[in-house]
Amino acid sequence: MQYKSQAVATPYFIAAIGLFAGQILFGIVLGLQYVLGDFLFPAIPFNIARMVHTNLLIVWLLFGFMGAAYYMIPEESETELFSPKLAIALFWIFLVAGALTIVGYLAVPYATLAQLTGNDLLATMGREFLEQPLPTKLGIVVVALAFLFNITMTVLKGRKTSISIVMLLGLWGLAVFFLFSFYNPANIVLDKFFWWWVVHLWVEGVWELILGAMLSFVLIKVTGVDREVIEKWLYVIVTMTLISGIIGTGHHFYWIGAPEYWQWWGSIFSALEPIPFFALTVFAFNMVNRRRREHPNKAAVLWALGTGVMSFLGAGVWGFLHTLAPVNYYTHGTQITAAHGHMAFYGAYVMVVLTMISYAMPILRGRAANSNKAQVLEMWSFWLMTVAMVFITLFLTAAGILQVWLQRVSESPLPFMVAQDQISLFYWLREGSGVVFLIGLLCYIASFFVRGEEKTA
Amino acid sequence: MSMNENRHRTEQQEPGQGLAVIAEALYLANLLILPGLAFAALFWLWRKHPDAPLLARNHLRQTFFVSLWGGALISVFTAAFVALGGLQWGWTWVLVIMYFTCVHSTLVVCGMLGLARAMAGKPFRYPLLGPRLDSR
Repeated sequence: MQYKSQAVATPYFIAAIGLFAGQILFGIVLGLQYVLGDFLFPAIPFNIARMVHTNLLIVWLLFGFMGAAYYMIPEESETELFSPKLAIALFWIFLVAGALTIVGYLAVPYATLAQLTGNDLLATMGREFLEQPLPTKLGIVVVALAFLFNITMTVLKGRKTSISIVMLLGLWGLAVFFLFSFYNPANIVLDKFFWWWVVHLWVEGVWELILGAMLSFVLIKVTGVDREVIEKWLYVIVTMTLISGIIGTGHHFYWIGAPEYWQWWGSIFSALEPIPFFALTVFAFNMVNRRRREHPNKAAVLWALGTGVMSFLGAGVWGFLHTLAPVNYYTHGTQITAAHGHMAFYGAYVMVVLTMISYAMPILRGRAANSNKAQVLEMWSFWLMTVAMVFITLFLTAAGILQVWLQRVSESPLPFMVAQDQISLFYWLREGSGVVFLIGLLCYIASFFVRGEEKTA
Repeated sequence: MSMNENRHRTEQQEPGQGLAVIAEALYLANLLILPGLAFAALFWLWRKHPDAPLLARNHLRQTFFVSLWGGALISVFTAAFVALGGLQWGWTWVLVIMYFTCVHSTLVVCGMLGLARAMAGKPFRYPLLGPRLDSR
């Protein structure tokens, strides 16, 4: 590696992969609970398993983003990190806080956890994805601010590039929008309205900037294409993300009690949301087609290309599928949403973090790329996880279409749980695909331990 | 080849590259925003440039035939599913929406790969549906 302080990224990447494994295990448990309702009850009820599954996803992606920033920023800024010690201290604080939160979810009833952690002082708990107790939320803010201070100071003292500026913009945006998780108005419409300012403006706004910056960084390294060319693409992606994503928040306001004009604004702007993902895919493939060097890390190139395609399909196509208000009137909150959520998160954010880990970890371990044997195993893991995710999405989509029909369209609509029973075949098939995904993840983890002839840095 | 020569080569436009990019763009427009109209424009362009450079002919021919076969694949089977299952059966909707989404998005992703190849001045053969590449 070029700068010694980049090494602080290593524990972040390791923690990210560990928490990813936890997320998938809980996903498998949840999948079974869909068809065997009392599986592991009362030890791990469905609502708790779901909360752990989604919270682990968010936390491990944040670890991944932070690790990526600690790796990228010194290299982009051509200077050592402002404070490597602070980065290591924050790692332990974040890891311990995250672990305690998960233990809290599993060990005590959620209402008791709320009582124990001062939710009566400032009520912030009980909202999907933002279930964390108040001290955890405050901890996230402290860690995020200290992390941003560290990264920003590094950029300020070194070279400023478009990639580091876009990364910073994304990370600052992430921190700023998280502050809305502390605003919990009693009016349910306002509550939902501002809840989306965290959830939507993260994943369909500022996180896309982080994604663009990370992918651009890796593509410069593995293709050798001029920075200028890659930066021009990055500008287009960032612009289209912000144009479509910010007002596109309106697609969440259709049925929550917000004014009716959001059905127009939400539909029009969110129909544009696939454009940045379209550009991202063409960008990744174009850069690899124009590459000036054959980088020995073929696995990283594969992850980078996969990120483009899968984010376009998951976030772009599956998002568009149910984003127009007249369609969403029928599909809202069905398994179609779950299908979109799974593939979009995997394609856009899981894959870009794995792209970065795949590129950076061999270098952090003192080599340009892993041995051929290790890379072959890693590429197997890529295909197993990606194909499994495609099938998870397809089965959930089929389940969702049938659910809409049975529950909302047919002449004699069925109650929710009766309709669930009718679509259980797809839940079994989804569970099978989930197991294949887990096998892929195990191959991925195993690839770190495979030895062989390594390519020198 | 030295790094400089290589760099010069990648930054230079290949003969027919502009036309190749337009062909791929029309193919995608036909699938995404202007069905029919973009295909008509693609057909017109293909007929107008029989002597275009090899790269352009490759992309024009690929995109024209894949649009044709892709369109047939989507409409014929969708119509068949509806005719066989009827619109009043939930499983017809499952099959039609799944089939349409999968085939359509596969065609779009292939088009994106084709566009990336055209922008890099390289030929492209669409998997399964694309005709064999011309050698001259």
